[in-house]
Amino acid sequence: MTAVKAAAPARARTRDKAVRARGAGAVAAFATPLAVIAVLCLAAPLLPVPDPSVQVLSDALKPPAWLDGGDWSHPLGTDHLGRDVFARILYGGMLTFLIAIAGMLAGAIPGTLLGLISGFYRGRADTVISRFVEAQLALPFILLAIAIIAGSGRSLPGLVLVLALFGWAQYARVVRAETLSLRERPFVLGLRCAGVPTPRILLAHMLPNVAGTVLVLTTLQIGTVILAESALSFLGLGVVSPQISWGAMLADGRAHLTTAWWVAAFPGLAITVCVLLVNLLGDALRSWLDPKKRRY
Amino acid sequence: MTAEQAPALRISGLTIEAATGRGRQVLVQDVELTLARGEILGLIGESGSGKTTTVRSVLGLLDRNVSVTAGEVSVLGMRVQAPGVDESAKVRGRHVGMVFQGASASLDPLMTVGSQLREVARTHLPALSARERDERIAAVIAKMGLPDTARVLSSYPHQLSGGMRQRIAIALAVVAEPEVLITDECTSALDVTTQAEVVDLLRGLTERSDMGMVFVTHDLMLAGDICTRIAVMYAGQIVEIGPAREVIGQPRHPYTRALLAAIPRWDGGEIRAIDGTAPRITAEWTGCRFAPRCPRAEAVCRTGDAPWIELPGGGVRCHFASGEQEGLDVAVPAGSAGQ
Amino acid sequence: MLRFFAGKLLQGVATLLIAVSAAFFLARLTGDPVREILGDVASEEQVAVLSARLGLDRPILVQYLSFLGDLVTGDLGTSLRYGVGNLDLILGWMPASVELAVAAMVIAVLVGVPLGVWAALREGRLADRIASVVALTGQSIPLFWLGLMLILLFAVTLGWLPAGQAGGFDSLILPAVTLSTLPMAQIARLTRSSMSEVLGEPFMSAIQARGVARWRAVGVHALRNAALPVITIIGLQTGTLLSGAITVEFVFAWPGLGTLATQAVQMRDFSLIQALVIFGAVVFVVVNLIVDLLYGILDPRIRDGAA
Repeated sequence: MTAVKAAAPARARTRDKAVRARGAGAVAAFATPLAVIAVLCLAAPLLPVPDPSVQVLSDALKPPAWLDGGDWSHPLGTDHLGRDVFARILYGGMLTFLIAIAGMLAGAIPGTLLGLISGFYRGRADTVISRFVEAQLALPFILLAIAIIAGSGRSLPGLVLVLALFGWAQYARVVRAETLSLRERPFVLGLRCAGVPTPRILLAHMLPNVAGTVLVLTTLQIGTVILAESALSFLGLGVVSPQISWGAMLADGRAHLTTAWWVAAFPGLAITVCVLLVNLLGDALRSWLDPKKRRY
Repeated sequence: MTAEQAPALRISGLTIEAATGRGRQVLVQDVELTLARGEILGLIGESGSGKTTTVRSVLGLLDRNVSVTAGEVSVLGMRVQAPGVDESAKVRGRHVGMVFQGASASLDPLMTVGSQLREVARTHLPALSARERDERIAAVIAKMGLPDTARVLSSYPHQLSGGMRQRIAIALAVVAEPEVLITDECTSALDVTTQAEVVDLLRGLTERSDMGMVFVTHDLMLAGDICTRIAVMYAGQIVEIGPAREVIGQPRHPYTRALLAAIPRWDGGEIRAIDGTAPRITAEWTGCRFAPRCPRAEAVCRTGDAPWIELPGGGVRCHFASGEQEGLDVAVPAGSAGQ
Repeated sequence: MLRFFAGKLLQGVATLLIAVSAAFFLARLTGDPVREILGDVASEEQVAVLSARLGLDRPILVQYLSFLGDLVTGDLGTSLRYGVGNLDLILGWMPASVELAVAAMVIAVLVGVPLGVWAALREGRLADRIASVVALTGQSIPLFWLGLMLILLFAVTLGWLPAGQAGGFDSLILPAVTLSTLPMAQIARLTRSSMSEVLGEPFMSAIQARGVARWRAVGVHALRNAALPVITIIGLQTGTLLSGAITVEFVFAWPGLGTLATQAVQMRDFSLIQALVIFGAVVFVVVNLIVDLLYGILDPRIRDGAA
């Protein structure tokens, strides 16, 4: 057993820095287009696009600009009521993003808190919370959403509530797992021995440590919530006229699929692109924050 | 040279490099090792010395970015590794067996021990009937000192103790009766008692057969216990090689001496640690690799590569090997296999 | 082993209890279902009559207990619209959903698993990255939109396949492919990461060192070790799909539980909706139990409580 001084290799540190720099680059590469799209959508009323609710029936079902019969005043064509598709995508994006963020937050906050409590206190609190988490995951989402919305009528707050129900269990489960392992770390044991009150430990010490995982999950959840909201709106249970969201546009587009494919194609494309960017961003974040856990 | 005359394992001029994100790193340089039949060769070094890379190259178990850039490895006269050549598949299991560190590191957790033994037997002993293979397996299990063969064979790895798992790992390596057995730190994860048992077991295996063994470890005294010859590696090079008794009793290389001086002694003598860390070697390195940490280093050590000096029965890589020996008060361990 | 399963069973029952209770209360606490059925123009008297008929005027706790009592005897209530037992309705409409779910999962596994293994064997290289992005795209597409686009392409433009329920094997293809996209992507990604992890385990090099052929090392040892989490996900996804893929069935007019559900919404058939939710939860919990059992059978470490 040689007593050679343990190496604290400086080379390992610089290597880490290079990996982290590359990771940060990937995060920026996906975050930027996403941010641009989000900003454009959220700023839709300020942009020089036609009013999305104005119905000009004589202009109904005009194709996109690059096809016969289209022109550049309506770059992506019009729908069955003569409304400009491009403008509707921008305005729809605004509502889609707002609802997605609201729904995600409404699920993330209680979910994370419950996960912290469940993982830290363990025992009975954990058992009860875990059963609720499993129960939530067992309930088929869309059916449950239907049940609630059909029973209480359509409303935006109702929609956000339903979306929150969709997501909180995921947060609780993931945060609980992280908390369970964090709990055994020496620094936490030290805090408990020192008599620091538990709520303070949870909020000031545990929370920052799970923040990375929560951030990754949040990013990915935005994608799933967007998909969930569009599914609900498509079925007529989410956003309906006169409000515009991408899912609602798809519901309209379905009826005219054979004659005016663009009314359905572009909103769906918008959803796919945004959710894909969100997923790529989430993966890049995960790699950046912990290279060992690359992709899952 | 026919297979009968060829040494069990011959490594000559072996150089292995890794292509990393920061240039090419030389992991192993100009290694010369010969293993005769029935001999036990110890390969000593700290982590990063290149000993594991050297032995893994015999079986072609190098990482994707690591390759042999010079030299040759041959088993029983058959060339197994050379730049651009990898024929290690020919010898894996059949002529060369390997035992790894860590009891769980060798066994598929989802298969019974018996299934895994039968799998290896089927691969290398296709000429035998199933019953003959089973008899062979039972014999190997018995040789491992494991009672209750039937229970062991039907057990899953997690149902056995660490020591038993390590014996199974050895059994898997020798069931096809290879001519070379390489053990890579295979006792490091065991407690001292179990370690002694496993070492006895390994010694017994080589004594009763023609099998040669390369015993890789960082523990110099343990090597002295079991090996006929010892080679010491540092920063990818062999710095000293010779009969075990001599390497331990009269070490010539400053690194070997420092290793011995750093071993805790039961008589309360002083432990002297070696300052600094092993260097990362690239093609630009000049001079002796141990020079930065060597108490005897002089100007010539930093400018000129340390020469290999042949000695009776071995050699040493140092500018000053032919000079005097500093009296180092290290008792040769009783039971050191000095042949 | 028996203790392991009994424990899981108990957990499942507890979960189910909470799930159905949640379904019960969530549907009731927001707004008045009776008004939803009758609309705003209903008079107080009409509301009272309907409430009494549906038993909705009793105290909530009494309703809850009666609800639980019915569940235990397998009574999921009576449909407001059809006037027959909900369970019978559900079982009647179920075969079409099962057919679609099985077809989708078969496609998902047959494509997803090899794709994942292929990507894992080429880890870090270009093929792996491309496969990863493709899989990620599969998880990003809204399924109902994909269905619409596929209909547009294959049914309308090319005329190769029927657009909806026209009977026969042909009409199963488009909906099954659409539905398989999401599970396929998840299975591919999980297989890849699980395989990749197993391939890096020390025992894999030991197996190679023993001279075991590469195809056997990867196909038998690695695959079996990597399969466990993938099997779990396959089970879970099947469970989800069995309760009806609502949007996809809607797009393809597929006569399964999903269509039954959307019709129930349009008819304001709360009883049926609630029954569907409960049914979905039961299916999910049962499938979970089966998966747990399977896990115990396949992984000896779990059986012995060692893992």
